[in-house]
Amino acid sequence: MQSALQIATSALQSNEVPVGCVFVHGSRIIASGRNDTNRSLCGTRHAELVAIDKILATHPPSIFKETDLYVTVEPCIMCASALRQIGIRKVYFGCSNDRFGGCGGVLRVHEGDGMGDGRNGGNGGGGGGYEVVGGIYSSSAVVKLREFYVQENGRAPVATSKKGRELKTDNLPVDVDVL
Amino acid sequence: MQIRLQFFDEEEEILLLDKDSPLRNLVPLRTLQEIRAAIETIDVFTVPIPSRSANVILSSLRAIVPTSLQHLRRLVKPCYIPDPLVDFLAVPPTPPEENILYLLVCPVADISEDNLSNFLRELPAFSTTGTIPRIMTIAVPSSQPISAAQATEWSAKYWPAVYKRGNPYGPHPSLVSQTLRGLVDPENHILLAKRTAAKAAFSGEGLGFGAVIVDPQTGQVLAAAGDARLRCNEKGWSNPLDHAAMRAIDMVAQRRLGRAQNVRPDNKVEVWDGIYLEDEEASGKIVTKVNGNSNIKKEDTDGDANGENGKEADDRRDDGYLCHNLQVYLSHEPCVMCGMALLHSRVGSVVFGTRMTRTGALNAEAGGKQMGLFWRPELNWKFICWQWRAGPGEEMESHENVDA
Repeated sequence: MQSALQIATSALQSNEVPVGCVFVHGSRIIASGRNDTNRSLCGTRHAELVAIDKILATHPPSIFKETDLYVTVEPCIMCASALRQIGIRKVYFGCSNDRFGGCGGVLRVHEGDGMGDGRNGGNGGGGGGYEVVGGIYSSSAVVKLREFYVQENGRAPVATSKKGRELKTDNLPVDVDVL
Repeated sequence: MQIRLQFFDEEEEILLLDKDSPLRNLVPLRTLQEIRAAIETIDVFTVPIPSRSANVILSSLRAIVPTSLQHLRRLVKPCYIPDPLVDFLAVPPTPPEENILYLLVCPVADISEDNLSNFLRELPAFSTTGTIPRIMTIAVPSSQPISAAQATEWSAKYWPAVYKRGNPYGPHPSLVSQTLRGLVDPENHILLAKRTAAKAAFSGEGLGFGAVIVDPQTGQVLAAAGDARLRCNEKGWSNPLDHAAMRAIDMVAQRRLGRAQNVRPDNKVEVWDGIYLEDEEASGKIVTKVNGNSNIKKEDTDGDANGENGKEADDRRDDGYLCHNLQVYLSHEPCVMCGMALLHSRVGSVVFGTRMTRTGALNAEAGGKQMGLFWRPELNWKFICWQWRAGPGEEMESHENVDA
């Protein structure tokens, strides 16, 4: 996890959302990845997917069933599904992600039948689930994210200004309706 | 006291479609919240009261129970009591009983039946005779209706309901209509997605899934990708995550990034090769043409990502942010990974063909994963989503256990 945090720091220095990860196979790091969405102009280039690409360049997909992921932030819903589909063994993460976490933050893609919110029915969702352990060095991971988010996102479209709007409280409908 | 008389006269922006319009094939997906709101009911008390005492009773009632359920009529004439309740409420035949109104008191959780009896007994309307009307419990929808049509349905089934413009559980109807009107040639683009799917399956490089991304500003196809999860690299294995939607998103990014850099340095991205659509025949058949290059080159398997002809640079627009507000056409409902990838990419609308009941992430209806990923309040982006209803003989192979 220390390595993952270092990689997250390097992402921060490259003006990327500071999320880093390492994939560990037999106590050896086989690949690392960091967020690459801003450079690539592609919203799916999350640390996990970047590292999965690297691994598949040299290892067959079957390696994942003996591989664990260490990532500084809980995998998002997309990555949680990707990890499930690729058959990861176990995921260790730092801070949880209540914006779009897929391992408990918002949905629980990693467990059960992958239905997302604990419902039953069918085994769809790309094979079995995987175990997750969260909260490892979570405060360091959060601080890194905060370091990033105090900056502006220059690439985002200009938000609609809501200045000048006010909450209207008059003209509410009366609650008596005769039909 | 002001008493408002209104019927379902709120105008609703519903797009009126011609009988033959291809847009009729687009079935909007209901959000998870809309579906839940539509089926949740709550038990409430109702009593018949003399209409001349209605205002007095209501003012007294306001002092003891909170006002709630504003989407339901508080007072209802016998003739508007829904048919399924007429016998249960023993509604007197009309006329002559026009002096009776049914009062929707409150949810049963807000007051006990005993307290309600005591309250009624002390009202001037009943204290003289000493008899109070029968208190009855009925089930009514607990959430407000999301359309005038739903209000009408509920009024006939549960209790007269009011549609107040707006939809707290999903996209406003006018937003859906507006987005529907903005779809660029959905008929041909869904067809292109299906053709791309068929091509991927035929090539053996992937399963029969396809994705197309269209820029609504220019009407241009920015990317068309087939599934490639079976395509082997030089080492002899494939990437199980090379799904059509992921690849199409990559293509849009690669197009914007230009040839100097790769979106995925370890898994080269092909760029949509300039095949475009031309609606030549009345049948709507797709005619493909190649933009300045004689051989149709879909896949760039040798890893030279940016194409040799350089044409992709001509129409590249650098001002785009991810896939912000682009239109996506998919042969099949995407899996969780692809669904969230579309959300991360800020797409504006998605049309898919075949529903994937076991793996699809978008549909929220019963009989599937019920994830409704396209519109969830806790996520930071939402898009409008339709299923394209396949005509006879147009159904695709579903691969129902596979993540599309």
